[in-house]
Amino acid sequence: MLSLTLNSQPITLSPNTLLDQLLAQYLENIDLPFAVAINGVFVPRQQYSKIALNQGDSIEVLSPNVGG
Amino acid sequence: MSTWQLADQVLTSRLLIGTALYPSLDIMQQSIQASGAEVVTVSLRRQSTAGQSFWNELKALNRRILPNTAGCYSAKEAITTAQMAREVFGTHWIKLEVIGDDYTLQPDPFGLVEAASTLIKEGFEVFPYCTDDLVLCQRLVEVGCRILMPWGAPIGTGKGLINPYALKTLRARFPELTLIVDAGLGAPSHAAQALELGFDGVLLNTAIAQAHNPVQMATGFKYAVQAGRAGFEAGIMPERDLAQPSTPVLGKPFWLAN
Repeated sequence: MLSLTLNSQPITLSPNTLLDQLLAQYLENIDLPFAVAINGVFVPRQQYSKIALNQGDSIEVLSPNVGG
Repeated sequence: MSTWQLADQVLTSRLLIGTALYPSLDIMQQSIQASGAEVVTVSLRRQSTAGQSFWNELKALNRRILPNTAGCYSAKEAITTAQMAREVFGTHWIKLEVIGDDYTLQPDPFGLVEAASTLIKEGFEVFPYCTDDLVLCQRLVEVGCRILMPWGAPIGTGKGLINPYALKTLRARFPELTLIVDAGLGAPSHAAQALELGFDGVLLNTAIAQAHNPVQMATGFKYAVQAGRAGFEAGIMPERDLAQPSTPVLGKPFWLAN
């Protein structure tokens, strides 16, 4: 099993899990646009199905919020 | 009302407004409407239930969106946030913030130039939140910035234009650039002053959102910006040290003659 973090929350995944599989699992009830970074690097949407997650990855999923 | 050019957009209002710190989303919506602003700033944050309501409200407002990189302390963080914002909001505009000091929220000039340089090469229209330092602004222009957003005062202080001389110098040195005072304004008169100095617009949030009556304050800023711009375009008289009567001296009645 892989140990990672998603928005700083620890998660455990099966080896060879792809990013789009993780997103489908964790974002199924959220209807907001979002973008993803892994280990501080932006991941374009077109790559979600090609990115295999690794042990220790830090995944950030961000969406619109208020701002000044 | 006259129009002006902001990057690739033709706008009427010279007031850009933030979406944070309002007592409620309803007040935010009413304030933005009252301000007449056509551009609103937003951020990217981790998902929350409040985010859904905000997103629905934002779409209904139908304003031009200027995402920010608020909270970033390095060029790398700001670049990643900008890339994410471009995908989420579908805009190449980015309000670039790279903070260098926690206490004053003063921009990091070195990180700002580094991030601006990279993002411009990637096709972004960079709106750098910067200090009023002339040499920093020159460096930002050298890497391709067409817009500069110097602070009036530190974010959220409401102090107004703490260094009008530096802002006047920027206007004089960059006559062709779009200059917007961003942050530190507290009262509508501060916005009027910025426009009187020849700045193209102002960007603010706290002064409206934290007013006792945000909607009324938004209206105040709307008119202040219009008044300031009208004053600038009309040509403000030069200051004098000595008084000069406005009523004719010639033709005074005899009992006023000395």
